[in-house]
Amino acid sequence: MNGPSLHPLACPRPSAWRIAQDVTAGRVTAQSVVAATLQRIAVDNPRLNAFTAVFAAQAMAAAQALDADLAAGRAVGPLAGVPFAVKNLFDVEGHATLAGSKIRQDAAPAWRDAALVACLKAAGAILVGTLNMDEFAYGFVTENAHYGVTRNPHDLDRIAGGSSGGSAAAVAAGIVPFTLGSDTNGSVRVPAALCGVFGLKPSWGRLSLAGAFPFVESLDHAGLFAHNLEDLALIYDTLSSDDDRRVVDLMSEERQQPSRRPLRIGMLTGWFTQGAATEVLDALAPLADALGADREVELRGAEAARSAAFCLSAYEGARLHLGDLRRRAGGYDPAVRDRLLAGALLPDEIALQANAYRHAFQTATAEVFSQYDVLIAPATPCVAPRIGEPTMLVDGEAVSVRKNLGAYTQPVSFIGLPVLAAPLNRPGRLPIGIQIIGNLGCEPLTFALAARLQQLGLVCASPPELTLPSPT
Amino acid sequence: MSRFQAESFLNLGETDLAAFADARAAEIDLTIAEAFRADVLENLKALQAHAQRMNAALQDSGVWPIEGRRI
Repeated sequence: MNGPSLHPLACPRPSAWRIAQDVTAGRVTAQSVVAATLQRIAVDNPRLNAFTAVFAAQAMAAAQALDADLAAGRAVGPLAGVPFAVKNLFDVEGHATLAGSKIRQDAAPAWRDAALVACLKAAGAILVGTLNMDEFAYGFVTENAHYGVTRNPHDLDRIAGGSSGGSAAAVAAGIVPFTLGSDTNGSVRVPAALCGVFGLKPSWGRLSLAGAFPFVESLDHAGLFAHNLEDLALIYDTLSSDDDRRVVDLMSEERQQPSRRPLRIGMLTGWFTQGAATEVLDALAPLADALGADREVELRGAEAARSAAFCLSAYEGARLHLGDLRRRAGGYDPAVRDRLLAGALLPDEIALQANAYRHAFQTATAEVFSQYDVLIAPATPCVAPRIGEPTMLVDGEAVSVRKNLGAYTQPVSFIGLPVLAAPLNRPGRLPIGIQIIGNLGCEPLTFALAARLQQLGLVCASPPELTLPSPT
Repeated sequence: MSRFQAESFLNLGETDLAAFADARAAEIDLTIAEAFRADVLENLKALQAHAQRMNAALQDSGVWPIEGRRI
């Protein structure tokens, strides 16, 4: 890596599991955990620009209350004392929900927390701040005209990806063990891949978006990031507690009896490898060998599905913003404004066609899932581009970074399939991530395969390389 | 429903696309500042290319036109 990388503090990156166990057992206090997190934010965030707000006083008060509960012998939740942060499109009581914009700075403060935030707090987790993103989640770069660019902890000269760039960077840097984000076209999977952390975009509708500022309601998904797979499972189980079986238990079984139920695994090709950098294709090759996934699968119509998602995002996104586009278009991030204005001009019939095509693509994909349990594809065509780089090469052609980093993620979210984004194990090199794609409602199978890949040493989140701290 | 149909949008050349943008903006009461116009048209052109690709696949899929509608 050429650019400078982030110097981690002496404190290793404790997992959410470990923090909750230690706090509950009284080995550490929630106050000391939160104080250390706030210190990390103070040291690391000026270089990363992942956070847009830090709730130091509220977080310390919550930690104090939790410690008091423990001292009094009262029960605490499974995430006791675990610090977390959320993309700034989730409502946080008492704060305006920015969604990465300037025009919402004067919005009324949220009167209650978003459903997922409330759920995590009820489980004992402690919210420490909100995180940077592309304005209104429309982009893959987190180069925000109002709040600045979020830098990749693996190379501060490179983007973190987007639109949940702050969420991925905060986890990759080890500031917090997990974060919330959202994914409409790839906004969890792209930054997870570029920052080298685990991400989950569950099936459409699986996690509540109540109290989250929308982008394209028919495509929006809530999602999460974590530095390790066990934390991702723990948080997912906490947020989807109505499940019969916890994915945490399923992963444990998978590790103990990997051949109990052999997974039928397909490697996606065609659109999902077209234009990928050689480095990405080479990094994926060992997966097929290790898994015996020698069958290549093509999702017919994926390119058109990506185009349909592109059109629907522009159309629906513009409809949501039409009032503000009429009144104050100049207040938008220019890159987002121009895309929304163009989307507003699309004939309504284009949206009808996009939805009709969604049905056709769903039907075709369902046939593929009658033969496979999980599909694997790269998450991005390349490693993290440099900050400010407007174009990247795909098949020798220069295409917009902002619009095309999600080329492999868009067809999948278009039909709402669950995807676990996992970082390939390549310490010392820029991260590359894969998508582990399941059929609708089959999140547990994506976790099962991820657990197997982790056991084989093929996926793992590598911390950013150690470098000497800058002279002060 | 807009009076602008997909078929006319999909087949527009570059010059006609600009005229379409003006007419469509007037229809939805949207003013596009001159300073933004070139970039908006560039984005609209990209959307047109995506819409063309989607439309071609849709025709092949047999699910379009929806019964009772023709384009």
